Amino acid sequence: MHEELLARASKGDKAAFGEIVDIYYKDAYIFALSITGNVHDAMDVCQESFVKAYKSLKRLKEPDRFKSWMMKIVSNTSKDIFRSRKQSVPETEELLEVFEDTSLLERIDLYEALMRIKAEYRQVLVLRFLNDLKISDVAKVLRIPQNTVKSRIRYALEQTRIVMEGR
Amino acid sequence: MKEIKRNKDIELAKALESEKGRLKLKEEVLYMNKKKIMNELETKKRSRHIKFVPVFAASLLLVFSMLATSVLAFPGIAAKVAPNIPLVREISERDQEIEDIRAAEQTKQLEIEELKSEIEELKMTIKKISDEQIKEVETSPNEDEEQNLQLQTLVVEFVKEMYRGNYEKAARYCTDEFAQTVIKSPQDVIMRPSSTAVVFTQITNVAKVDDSMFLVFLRLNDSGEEMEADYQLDFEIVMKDDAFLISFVGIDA
Repeated sequence: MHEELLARASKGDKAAFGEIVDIYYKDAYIFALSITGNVHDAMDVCQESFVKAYKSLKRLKEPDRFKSWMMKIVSNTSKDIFRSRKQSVPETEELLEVFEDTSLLERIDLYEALMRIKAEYRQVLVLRFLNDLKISDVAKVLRIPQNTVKSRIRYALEQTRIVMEGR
Repeated sequence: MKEIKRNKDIELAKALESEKGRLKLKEEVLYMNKKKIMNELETKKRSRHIKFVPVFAASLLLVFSMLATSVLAFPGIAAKVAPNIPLVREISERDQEIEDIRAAEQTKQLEIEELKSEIEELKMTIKKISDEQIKEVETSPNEDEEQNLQLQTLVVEFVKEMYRGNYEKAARYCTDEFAQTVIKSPQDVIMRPSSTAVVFTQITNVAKVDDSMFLVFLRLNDSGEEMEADYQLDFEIVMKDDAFLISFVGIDA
């Protein structure tokens, strides 16, 4: 983990926090995108979330759980900003504005399907598989019971498969 | 058929898992957004400095006021020596007006302070819940005080049992599903299960999501040290068969 960087950042070392941004930005961005469904809104969410995280770092008691703590901030920030907005689905061209085309295009069918299932199902898949969080951490980020996380993962995989098969 | 679909879902999960290392953000996107974040941090810092400007201006004003008062002191003496000089008389009258305005402002300020503290007291009261004196903060409309106290007592007693190590007993306050977490993973429910020095510092009144779901937020400290920051437990309570049961507890900063 990155306890030393976090310790320095919590004492006001902005360079250390910059390194934290380098490490966790992608995970935060993918999760924000899974909630907002818009490549630009996800950037706004990330910007505000990292600023909030920097200001709250002193209150983080378990640095080894920074990632799930950060995702919780992203989740809350997304809800605060986009409570009243309707979910949108980004087009492939929009995704290609932010992701490397070599990494995205090889599995574009998977990503397009992922963006077309319901946001609550997409979020569990992103947190569990793309962001590599444990089931218990996913439950904490989304504030739902662990068994609900498990059932949502099962259903989300099924829905993603159905969308992929139908294309 | 079902087995085939299940295998496909497992393959899909594996595919997603392998994507975590492959999916890459464009470097310029990361660079641009990182720059925005770091600029925002700098702006916040600068804006803190800007806050000092009015303080500095006020200090400067105070110094000038003191100087002016000193200057006015001399006409004061002059007023005793030669009170009939028109200029001296006018300065004395202005001096008196300024004093009156200052006194009126001070009185107003005191009234505002009193009103503020009255409002704070209205929002925050010390309440006895399950033999504990806990500061209650009203964060949502309090529709049913009896139910409010009942749910607050439920969460406080639940936490007490957790810190006593009586997980089985604590589980009785929970839904069957959440009871399993309480018994098997108490570390996912409270911060330091081994601690015995728990102090309740604040509780919110009950927020009603709908007729069968309620939320209560409890702040506590289990470090045994006053200097350590509190942490928060977010409770989700459901109504099941006419009984209130805890369905989820989230540890929060």
